[in-house]
Amino acid sequence: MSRVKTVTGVERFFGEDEIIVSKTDLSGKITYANDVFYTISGFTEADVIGQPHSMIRHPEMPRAVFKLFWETLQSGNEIFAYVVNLCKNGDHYWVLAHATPSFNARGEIIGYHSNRRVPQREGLEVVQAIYRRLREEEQRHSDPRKGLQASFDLLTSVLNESGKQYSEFIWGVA
Amino acid sequence: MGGRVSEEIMHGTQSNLRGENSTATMADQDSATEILQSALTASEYERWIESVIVICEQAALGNLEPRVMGCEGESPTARMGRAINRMLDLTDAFVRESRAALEHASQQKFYRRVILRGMLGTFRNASNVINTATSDMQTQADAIRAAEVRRLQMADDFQGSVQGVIRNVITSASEMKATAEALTVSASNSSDQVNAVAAASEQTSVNMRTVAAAVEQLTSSVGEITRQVGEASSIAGQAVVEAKRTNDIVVDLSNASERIGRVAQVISKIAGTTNLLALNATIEAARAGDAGKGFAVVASEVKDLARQTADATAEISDEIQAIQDKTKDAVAAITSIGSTIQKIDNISGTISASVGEQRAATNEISSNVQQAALATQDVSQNIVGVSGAVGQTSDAAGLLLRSTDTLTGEAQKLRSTADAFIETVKQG
Repeated sequence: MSRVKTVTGVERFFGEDEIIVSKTDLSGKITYANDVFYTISGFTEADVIGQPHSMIRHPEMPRAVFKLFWETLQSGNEIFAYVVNLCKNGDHYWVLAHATPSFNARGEIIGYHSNRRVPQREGLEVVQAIYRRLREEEQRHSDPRKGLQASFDLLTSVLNESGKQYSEFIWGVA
Repeated sequence: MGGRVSEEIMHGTQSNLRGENSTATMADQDSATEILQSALTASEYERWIESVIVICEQAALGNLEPRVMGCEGESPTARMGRAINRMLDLTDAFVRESRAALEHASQQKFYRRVILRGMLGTFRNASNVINTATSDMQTQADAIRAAEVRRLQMADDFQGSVQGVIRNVITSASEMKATAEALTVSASNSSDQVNAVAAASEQTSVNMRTVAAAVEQLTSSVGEITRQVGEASSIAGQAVVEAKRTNDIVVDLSNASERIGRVAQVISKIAGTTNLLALNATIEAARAGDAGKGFAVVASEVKDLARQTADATAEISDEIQAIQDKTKDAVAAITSIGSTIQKIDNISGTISASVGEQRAATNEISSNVQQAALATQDVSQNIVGVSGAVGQTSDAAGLLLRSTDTLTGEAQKLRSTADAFIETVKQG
């Protein structure tokens, strides 16, 4: 089990037909990752199984996006998000993450599942601009909770300006 | 062990199917591979195979959550585990994608399509089919929505126009009612006026007959006057003739008296001469004495006769003078009579002319009166017609009044029916 300490700024890429798969339990701890994940991230099964999924979170990701991400998932809905993830060595890779709850036969949520695909570069540019604004908003506040709320409000207002709900918005740029 | 694994799998959690032995060495991939390849005992291997079978059986039962763990390295078992996981991941992804796309489509969120990236082979084909179906659904939904919009628009238009029409009908009916009411009042007034006109016409007719009678009387008076004037004129003419004849007679009389005067002068001369002769005879008789005495008596007698003759002649001359004076008076009187008659004649002419004018005026009056009488008769007849028409108008106005009430009621029924209809159309 190793923690990433420094960001290298080197971007890695994976194949158009590849899907990075991971599963977590209800608390967000990783229960499965596929070989594509291990290959691109450099992590081993021993590094990630049982660890919180946030361990591969990149510092450039706004926290407001994860707030929306988890709130949507916990309400039983799917969510798409452009996400930049960290590799074991501090490199990073961009994905279009599609997260869905996993249901048992009784329709209860028993965990979460993420399929991550190669992002569209055009959509990525739009999203990166928004993420920059959100991150700046989060960093403007000394109180992280207030920063998160302000950033989330900004995300909401950006969506309101687009006149679309988040899912429709993200599909417009995905 | 197999039972425990199976239970965990059923709850959606992953198991390290390699068992407790392997966890200590998982940090190092190479050593893990080495262990997998070299250190698995026959029973461990059998247990691993058993757990993979359970995962496949679970997948066959529709539980796509379990995965084979500890598949690092290039040993056949590791590769088999990764291949099974890839198969499960792809199947899982396809199920999640198709489910999400169809769920969204059923909520009219057609933008959510199956992501083709990562979908391979038959999964990609099926994904394409789903996306095409979604696209078709979107087209149909758009068409339905457009039809819906059109339907609502039509309903709105229909409502607008029908309500407009009904409003107009009700307004018209209300106006019609007011008109009918006014017509009723008007007919009633007309009836009164018709009666008044009929009475006036009757009175006029009576008056006309009076006037006609008066005119007739006047005409006959004028005729009488004309006749009498004519008679006066002819009498005046006769009088003129008579006056002229009288004048002639008087002139003749004057001439005769002049001739008598001249005869009387002759007689007077004869009497003078006779007197002289008698005087001479007396003288002669005296000379003749007694013999002459008888002669003297005769001569005296003759002298007396001569004197008497002279006296008579003088008297005659006086009378003739008187006659001539009277004759002159008579001529003057006759001339005066003639001019008076002329004046009378003139007056008769004037009367005659006046009477002529009067007759013309009377005729005109008569013809006017006749025309007036005819006109009055027309008025009377027409008034009867008008009276009938007024009665019909009154009846019609009453009918119209009841019709407008019915019309208003029908229009209101139509409105509520149309409203209900439109409501039904709008609700679809």
